[in-house]
Amino acid sequence: MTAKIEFDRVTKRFGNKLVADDVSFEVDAGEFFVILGPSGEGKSTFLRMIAGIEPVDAGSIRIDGVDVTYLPPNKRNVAMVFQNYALYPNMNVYRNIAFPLKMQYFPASEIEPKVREVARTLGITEILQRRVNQISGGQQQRVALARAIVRSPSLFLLDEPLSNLDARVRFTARAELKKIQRDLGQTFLFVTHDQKEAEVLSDRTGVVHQGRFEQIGPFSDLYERPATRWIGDFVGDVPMNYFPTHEAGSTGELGFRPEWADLSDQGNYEATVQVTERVGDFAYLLCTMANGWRVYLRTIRNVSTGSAVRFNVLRHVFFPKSQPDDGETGAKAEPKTP
Amino acid sequence: MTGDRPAAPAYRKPVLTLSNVGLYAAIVALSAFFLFPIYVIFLVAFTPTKYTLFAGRPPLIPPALTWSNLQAGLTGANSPFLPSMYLSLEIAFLVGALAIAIGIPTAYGLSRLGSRLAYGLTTVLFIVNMVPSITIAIPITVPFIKAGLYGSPISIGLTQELLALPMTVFLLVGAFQGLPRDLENQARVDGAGRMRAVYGNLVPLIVPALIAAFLLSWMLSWDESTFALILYNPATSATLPVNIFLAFTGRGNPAVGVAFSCVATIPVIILTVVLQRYLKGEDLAAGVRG
Repeated sequence: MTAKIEFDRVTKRFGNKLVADDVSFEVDAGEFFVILGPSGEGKSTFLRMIAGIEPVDAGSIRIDGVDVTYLPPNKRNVAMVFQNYALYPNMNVYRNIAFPLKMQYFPASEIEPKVREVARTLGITEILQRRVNQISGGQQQRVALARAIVRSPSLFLLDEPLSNLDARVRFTARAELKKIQRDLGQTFLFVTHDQKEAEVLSDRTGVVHQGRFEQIGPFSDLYERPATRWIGDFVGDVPMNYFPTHEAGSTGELGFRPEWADLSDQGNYEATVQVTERVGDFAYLLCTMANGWRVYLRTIRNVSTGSAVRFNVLRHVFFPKSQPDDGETGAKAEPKTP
Repeated sequence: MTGDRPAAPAYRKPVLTLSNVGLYAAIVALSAFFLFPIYVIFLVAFTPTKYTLFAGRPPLIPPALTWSNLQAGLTGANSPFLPSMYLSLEIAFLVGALAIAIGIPTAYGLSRLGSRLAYGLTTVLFIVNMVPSITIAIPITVPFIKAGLYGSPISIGLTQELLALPMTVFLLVGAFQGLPRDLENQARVDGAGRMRAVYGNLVPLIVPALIAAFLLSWMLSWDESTFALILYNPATSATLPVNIFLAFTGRGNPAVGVAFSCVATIPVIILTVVLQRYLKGEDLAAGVRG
């Protein structure tokens, strides 16, 4: 069975810091949902509240329609992989994986085949008898994952499970994780600060900022149609460009990514190239305009520093200036193609 | 538990050179200083009393050796040795076991409070230990005696527990706080109730601290004489320290006291040797990163 998660006006604070500010959102059954956000935004707290190891100050959490807000963690049938894997140091790999089954009083005769099968799936059969401090970081991550999978939970919570891995191991682990989720067809909630992981893994991504979801949607939406200027800055490798503008009777900013501008000799705007950076096939140009605005452009041409370029903005997003007192995170962005 | 453990770093054999001769001399001198009282105990125990207790200038090298002191003390007619030894052992194990049994839940609870609050409360526990035990012994023992709790191992054990428990809790709070919090969370998420998570997943990781706490509590009780002296029942038996005290004061037989002193060291040594391999705890270290 796979579970749907609902947050209903959940509030959580640590001292003065609001980690969840009246948050409501839903994760669909079978969805790979990534919670993305900068470090220190309390992303993990969302997982911990679902797991039941962090109490909720207000609001309720439902798993498959059942209110679990005040259920102890061991009654929620939720699997969680912690950032540091939290393997039990007093048990070997086999006993670590078998632990959740033992807690459900499975007889040993049923535990063994289950553990062996999940170990085979994850390629850790050889290390089953090892101590957990004798195996590599990548293996520890697999053991933690195996321990989560073995009990067939309806919901997986993963707290930055890839962040402790070397770059190369992380690449394969990421792909494996996606495959596992697809094979299991279960709901995955995955917390990360790495937008590449969100992009590769997620069906939908929610970006957390100041205790709220700034935007929730497929990752491509976050990139193509950022709801707020903050999202525009946070998502993407290169910052967005912003020009003050009027649109539809309101003042605000016009935002566009470097690749949404087209360098052409008939362009409406003119700028002087200050710095060029070549990244693969492209060159990123940091330019300044006559009125002092800075703008990032992207081109496949060779453009030398100090030269003048003209460009058109092919596509942009309009960010209305938010009212000083509305406290909302900003109005919906309207993608425009002039 | 298959091998694959990294080899121990190569051990360099210490060499006696001119530069460390002084160091070894210092070590020998220091050891001699600390071992001297024990030497005197054994000297008196195995030397005829006319050369020691009843001599004006007892020699440091025994002129003759004898078993008769020990025989008189341990097996002589009306010797309180066996019941006394038994009582002392009973109380010491009781104090050690109770310290662990009460110490684990107390320390776990304290370790889950904020560290400032936890330290505040632990300090409060130590108030009894801060006061000299002879001053506090009377107010503590009077209610015990009124309640008819004297002379029994439980009564003496419970008063000694007042001294052993704060130290145990202090040790165990530190041990619990040293464990990653997410280990307990993981166990809870994996389906363990709180009791199971604490006793099944956390307690096995603090075994070295438990052993240390047990040993210290055990030895504290083995050594303790103030409460044991006030609460003992002359009609039945007293603990070893009390019997040693009585033997050297008043109308006691000093030879008995010496024999008791000599024998009293043996259980401590045995217990320490048996338990010390658990004190290292290297097998339980690490395993959780970050």
